[in-house]
Amino acid sequence: MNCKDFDLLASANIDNMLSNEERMEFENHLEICETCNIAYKNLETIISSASEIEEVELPSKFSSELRSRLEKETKVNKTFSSKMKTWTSIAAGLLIILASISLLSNYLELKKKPNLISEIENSSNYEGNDTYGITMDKNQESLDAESIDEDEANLKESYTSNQEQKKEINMASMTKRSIDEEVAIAPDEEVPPQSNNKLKSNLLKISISALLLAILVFINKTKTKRGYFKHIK
Amino acid sequence: MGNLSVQEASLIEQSKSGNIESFEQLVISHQKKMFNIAFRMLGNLEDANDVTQEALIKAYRGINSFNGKSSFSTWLYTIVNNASIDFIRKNKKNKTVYLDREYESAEGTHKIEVACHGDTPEEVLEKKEVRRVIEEAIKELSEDHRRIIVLRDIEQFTYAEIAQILDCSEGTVKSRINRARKILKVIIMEKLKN
Repeated sequence: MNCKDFDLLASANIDNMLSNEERMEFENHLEICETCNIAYKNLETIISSASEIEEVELPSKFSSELRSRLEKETKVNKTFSSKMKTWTSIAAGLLIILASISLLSNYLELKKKPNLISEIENSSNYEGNDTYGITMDKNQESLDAESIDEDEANLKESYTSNQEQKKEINMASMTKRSIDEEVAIAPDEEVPPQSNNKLKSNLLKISISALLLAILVFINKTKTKRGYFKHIK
Repeated sequence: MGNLSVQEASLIEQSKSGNIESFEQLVISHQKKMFNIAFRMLGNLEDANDVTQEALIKAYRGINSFNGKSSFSTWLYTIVNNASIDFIRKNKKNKTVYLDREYESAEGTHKIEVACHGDTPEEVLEKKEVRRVIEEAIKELSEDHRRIIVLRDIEQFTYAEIAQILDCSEGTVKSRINRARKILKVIIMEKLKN
């Protein structure tokens, strides 16, 4: 071992971080090299002086200051969460109103076309009495049953989720019901197969609205519980 | 969360749901050490108080992100350590030139080697004299060297704990400690000469 190696190991030896072999070589060098011996003793003196530096006490008002800052922090969180709640409720309401308007306007458009409806009345494909609405896929041959089932499932899922969140947004289920009513107006009216696309698009709109509502409620619930979202790569 | 006691785990859960008392109980035995780390890093009590308070608020806000990979105390010391470094960097009004910087240049490294292994043997340092200047000497270290000295030599953290706090390997810690101590020694010797 030379003086340079010794210099590299001196600090680790003070902290007992050398292997037995390294330590033996180190100690042998220490015995034969006076310069390194003094350098090592000086390093020891410095490290032991540093360890004897006295701890300072916490300021007397430390705990009370911390308490008031923590309370302020919790208050800010609550205010933020209640503001979030209000805004998500408003946003959810607007979404549902938009979806309802769009649905209603499409329905009124259909009503303006009596010729189209009479054609359907004569159509052999028309079976008549079944309830038309969200479960209408039964009497619409050309309707993509699978897609509607999917939409229906989405709706049911979102609806269940809405019910669970009743406390946060009571409005959700109420508005949801109004959509159902609007959709339920349709059974007496005959719907042409050509309008299936419009119907599907309406159902899709409802599904998206309900999904968005569920997401908003989820975000709101997470904030209330002081939860957070994490992006996992 | 193998690093946590049952009581600690339960206090962490309560703190997560916004219970201030649980959080206070959780940090009470660590806040003095946090304050001392900040004080040795910043050099004055007022700044140390601000930074420690801020670090505790950060810990409260971010308690959901505590994953139990390290002990809870190590997590707190990491936060206060980083907060101290941020504070120093943010408040550098005039670009401070630390005395140890000059030893980091190619010429400076040579200077350290000469100082430690010159032809003339080192003078034996008197402990009493070292004690007198060591606190001032630590303040003259760059923040990176200072935090190593504070964590290892003043606060007595193990190499493994320092590796967690600084998010590096134990091997890196070993070489950083070696380097920081060498520079501290040069500063102390310079101070005692003058």
